[in-house]
Amino acid sequence: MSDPIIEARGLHKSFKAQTALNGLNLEVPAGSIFGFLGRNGAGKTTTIKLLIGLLKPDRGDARVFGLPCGDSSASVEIRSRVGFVTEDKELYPYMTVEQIIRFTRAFFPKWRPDLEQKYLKLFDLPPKRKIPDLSKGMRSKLMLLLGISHGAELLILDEPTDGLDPVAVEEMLRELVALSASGGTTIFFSSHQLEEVEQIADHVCIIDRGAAILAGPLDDLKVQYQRLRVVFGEELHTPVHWVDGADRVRQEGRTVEILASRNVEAILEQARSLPGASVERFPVSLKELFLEHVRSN
Amino acid sequence: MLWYKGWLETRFRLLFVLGFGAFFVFLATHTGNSALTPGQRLVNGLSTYWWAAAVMLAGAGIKTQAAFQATKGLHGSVYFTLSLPVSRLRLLATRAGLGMLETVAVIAGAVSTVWLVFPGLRAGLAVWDALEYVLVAAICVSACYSLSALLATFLDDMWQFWGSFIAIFFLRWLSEAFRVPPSLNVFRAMGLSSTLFTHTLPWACMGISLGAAAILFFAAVKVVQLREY
Repeated sequence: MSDPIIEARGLHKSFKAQTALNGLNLEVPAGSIFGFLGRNGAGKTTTIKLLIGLLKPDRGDARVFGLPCGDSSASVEIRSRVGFVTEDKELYPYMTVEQIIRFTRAFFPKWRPDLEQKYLKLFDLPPKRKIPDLSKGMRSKLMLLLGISHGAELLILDEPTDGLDPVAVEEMLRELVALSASGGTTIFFSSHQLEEVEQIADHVCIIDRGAAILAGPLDDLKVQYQRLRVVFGEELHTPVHWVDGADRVRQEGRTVEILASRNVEAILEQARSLPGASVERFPVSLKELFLEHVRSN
Repeated sequence: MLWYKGWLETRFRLLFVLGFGAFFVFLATHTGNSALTPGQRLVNGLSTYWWAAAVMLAGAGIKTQAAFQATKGLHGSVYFTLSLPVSRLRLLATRAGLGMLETVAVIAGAVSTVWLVFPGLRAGLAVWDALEYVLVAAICVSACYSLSALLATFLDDMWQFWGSFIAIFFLRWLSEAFRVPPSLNVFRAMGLSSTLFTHTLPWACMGISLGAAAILFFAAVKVVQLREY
């Protein structure tokens, strides 16, 4: 297996009394589309700022391409290989689309004019228009164009679809998948739009209160986690002690909902052996995984 | 391209400073201490204009500056700037370098204009004297410029502007209140004790100003490098 393109170990970051990151561990495989999920204030943007070099960690180590993000000269090298779409999508208000493209191009010797032209047309961006006159969706696309056209090996996108209409969201997601498939670009994007992440991500990490609470390949997580519903003939008065692997158990009247991460077959067998119990098994969605883990954290 | 970005941010500010200069020259020649000759009044007034111009052109650290208005808070596009593969030292040095060049251009432009427009002053003033004065004024104003550039690294536009003005006014008042000798008074070296009247270069003032400018700029670089955005 190739080395991870992003690697973080025990990252801590606080702002005065507020803890933003609390021992975050993260591994992003090269070539993946990596969804970085969390509630507002979970630490997503802080993590991204640390990776780009806008912030320095209090403790821990973060590396991109094996280079330490906290080191100033290494950070310049990292940024030469990374395309970044900021959360607020702000660019220089006094420039037009073609001026900001010309400006950005000057910093990247491997700039791809073919990609620039392709995305200029595809995103329907008017070259002469001033940046403040662009919609938020257009600004997102413009930032994506700037990131893609310099031949970035890694795209870091902070809430890239925030504020976009559904059509624009679809277009952007489609392009991200195409980019990953054709050029092998690694895409690391933060979002709280779970459906979008589920649509395109092959790896996810759920972060809450500054620490990763679930991470891995999305397909593996979906296979690993199962939701079981056990319905009894009459209401249970004593709780059942389930075998190991039943991570979350919620009981309401005659129904018990179980989210299992291991020993699913053993749990099923145990459920079936209980008097008057009928058992159903469901696959879990990313949304369910997210909600279960975040609520119980 | 960082120069280009800086130019787009400062071109209207530069125009404003030049317009303000014309008003300043008018004010300096028509008002002020009647015990002074018109030439002394003008140079005395211009010495204030030089550092006012320096404050206005000192920039906003590595933040994006609006073309016209002073704005409060952090400009969002600083994240885009900091995502470029450029060191913070280079970002600040380019912006500060451009502002200082513009300040020198303002001084040179204003002195040339005065020299051309006022034949009475021109009579006793050789071109070489004017050039010497431009050089001295540019060097002496560099400390004020660096002070403002330093304040811009951690204050918003409005506070940088007023903070610089208050600090420089205070320093100027101190230099008068404590009767700092003219040979060491940087403000006087741009005004009544300037090379135009003494015909000698104020080496000590120039050295003090350059030293202070270097220290203040070094402090600005440290702030920008250590600051988190």
